[in-house]
Amino acid sequence: MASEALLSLRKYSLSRADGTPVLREVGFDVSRGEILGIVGESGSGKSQLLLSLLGLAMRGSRVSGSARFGEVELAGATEHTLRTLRGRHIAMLFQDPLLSWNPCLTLGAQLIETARLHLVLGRAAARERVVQALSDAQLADGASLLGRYPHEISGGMRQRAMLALSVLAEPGLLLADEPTTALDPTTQRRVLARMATLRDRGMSILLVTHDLGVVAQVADRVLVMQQGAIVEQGDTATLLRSPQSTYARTLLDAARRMEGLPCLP
Amino acid sequence: MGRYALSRLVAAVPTLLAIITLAFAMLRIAPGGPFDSERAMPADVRAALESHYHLDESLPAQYLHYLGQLARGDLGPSYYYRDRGVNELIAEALPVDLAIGGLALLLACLVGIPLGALAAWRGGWVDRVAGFVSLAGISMPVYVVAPLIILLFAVSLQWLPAGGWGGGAPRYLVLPVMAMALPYIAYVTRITRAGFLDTLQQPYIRAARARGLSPGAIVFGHALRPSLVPLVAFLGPAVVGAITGSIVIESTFGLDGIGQFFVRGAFNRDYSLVMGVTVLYGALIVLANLAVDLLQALLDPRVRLR
Amino acid sequence: MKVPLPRVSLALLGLLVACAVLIPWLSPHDYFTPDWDNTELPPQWSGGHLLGTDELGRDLLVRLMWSCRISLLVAAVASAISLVIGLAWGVVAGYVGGRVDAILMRIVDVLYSVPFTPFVIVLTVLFGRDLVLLFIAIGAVSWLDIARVTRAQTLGLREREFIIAAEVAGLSRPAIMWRHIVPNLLGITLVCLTLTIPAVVSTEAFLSYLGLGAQSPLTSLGVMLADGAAQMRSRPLLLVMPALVLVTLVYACNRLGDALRDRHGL
Repeated sequence: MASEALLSLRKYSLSRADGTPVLREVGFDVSRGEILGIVGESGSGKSQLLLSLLGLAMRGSRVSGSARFGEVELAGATEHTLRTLRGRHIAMLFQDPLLSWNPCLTLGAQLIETARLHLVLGRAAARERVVQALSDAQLADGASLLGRYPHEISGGMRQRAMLALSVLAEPGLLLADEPTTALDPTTQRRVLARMATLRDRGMSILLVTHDLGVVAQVADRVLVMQQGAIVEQGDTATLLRSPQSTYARTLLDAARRMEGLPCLP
Repeated sequence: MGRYALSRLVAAVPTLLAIITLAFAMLRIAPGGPFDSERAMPADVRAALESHYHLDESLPAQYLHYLGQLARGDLGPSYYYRDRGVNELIAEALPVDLAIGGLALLLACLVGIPLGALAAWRGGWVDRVAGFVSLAGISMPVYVVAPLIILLFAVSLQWLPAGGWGGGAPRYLVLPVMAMALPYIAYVTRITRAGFLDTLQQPYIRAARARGLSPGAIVFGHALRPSLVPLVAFLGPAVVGAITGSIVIESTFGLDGIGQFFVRGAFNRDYSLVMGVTVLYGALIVLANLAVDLLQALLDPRVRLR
Repeated sequence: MKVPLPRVSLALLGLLVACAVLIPWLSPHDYFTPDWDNTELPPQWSGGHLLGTDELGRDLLVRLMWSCRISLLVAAVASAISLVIGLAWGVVAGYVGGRVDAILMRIVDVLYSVPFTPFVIVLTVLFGRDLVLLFIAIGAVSWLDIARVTRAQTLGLREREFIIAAEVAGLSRPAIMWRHIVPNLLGITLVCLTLTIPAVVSTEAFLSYLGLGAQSPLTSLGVMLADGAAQMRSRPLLLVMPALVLVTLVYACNRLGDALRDRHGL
């Protein structure tokens, strides 16, 4: 069943305040309930792509082209419009959980704040909801976690809790910027498994990463970016088996060399 | 948190002791004694006076005796104002400084914090104006501002009295508070602005924006606490300075505050009074530093780890 | 993007410094000889008294410029001394660390808590009015901030590779501190200097105002402010002009220091 695209980019370009291009006429679709992986080396514009969709790119940067999210045009949208979407319909997960949590507030305060904002709940109801969300994320003893500060728990738990915070309002789209890069392999698996579960429940995820292993594990389709442009896209299995673009081949070869496998023909 | 507080308290004691000892040593090293400037008095009267005040004993003995006295909360007699003890003199003078210093700091925070926050948040011309005003405020010394505002408001416009205490009536408070508050407003604005600028650049503020929080929620809920940490560090000693009185303000406006008593005590070689004020100041500073440490730990939990 | 230096402040500062340096050659009048025929003149063009004269007939503008000169001289010397002390203190504390660091910084903390005005008053009462006292009083406090800043910077530098490389190569501690750490602190030091100088100018003015610093016939901005304050009801210009010069000087220095500090990301 062909699902109508949730997010549609056409000739989407982004340039810095001084004019240097960051994204060049990017175009792709994201359907409901799919994970789209975006790979590429540092500087290929992957992170800026995610940030600019929510209007959080660098000061002075300019967007042209189109980025349709359902009925709403994100490119050039007003701050007011974007704020109604942020967190509620489109959420973002950042790479370093230590830097994303406010160090001066407890986890509970920040979780409950978001719950009350987007779900319009009273304090007690929000608290229950949050504890529920934490246990859904398989974080043991959610209640005691609420009273802790971010620096008091492990990095893995921080990111899993951050993921729970991001999807509290059950947004349709999650933008994940290298969410597993700073994590140990065990936590990485857990986070990816959780993302797969969210995907199965209908959430779409844009997953930016430089790790092909991550892509192989959970992505349905993959975009390969190089210097601000898409050089290849397709479903994961096909791309990993026989990459078309030279860049994708180079990436794959590098990964395979690390695994000790022979290179592709 | 309790353990942190206790450790800070323990660390404070040596500092206080050092201040007391330093003041004691400096005063005793100085040439001349408290009774030198009096009319020539017979030797036996002088001997009796000195014995009464323990001035004939050895220095270490005097020092220990003084410490014991302090432990009882008694700051001792005044050698000059023989009818009143140091405790009483301070009690008389304190309300003046508390009123003026307290109001000046309150004004400084009420004006400076919002101004600094606004300058950091909005940037642009608001920031430039706030920057100019605050830098000008710091550059203008109190002993220049005070006479100038007296010139303007009391002499030319004749709206307010040029000095005096008037029993604490509001009219007499306006000019001294204004003169004292100006530099404080400048400092508070600058420090608050710096604190907010630093905080607003942090990744967690961007993450909070990405969650859809309103600017109000971000500024008050997320940015305020970490931004105030440097301000708290400034306010600690500032409060103590304000309470113990500005010598310049007191002399310009003819007020009998602690500063004035201190100066008179120094000129009259009234060791006891000078020591008393010094000890008061030292104790207040130690308390203020403690309060600052605790407040900072409250605002930013990471501080407690240090 | 490099923060541009504030042009107005730079210009004003340049102007004041130029006047201070060149004043001996700019005017026939000197700053201390009374001229009983021309006392208390208002500003006028003839006679060359552009701002008028004071109660002793001395030209106000010339006195102002000389005051600037002396204030800046005192500030420069005192700042240089503070710089040397503060730099050495901070680098040693930051690099050696441990017990030495704790003791050195504890001393800084105690000295920091000492209230300046009462301290100076006590010094005066004890040791009388003396220009040397002025330098001691100023010198006793202005190095504290420099020590703190250099210590913080040294702590950061200590972990850098080139320092570790020097240690591994067997360089002695003093050699490392002198040849590797100090040169890297010169930028910060410049910033501190631009912020110390206005503080010292202010302090010197304050002490002179209290009558504790420059004595007659020497003049400084503080002395002129004290004279002006005493006569402010009859001749406000005597207060307003030195006040203007002092505030402009301090403001311009601070503004410059702020801009330099922004550049270094301090």
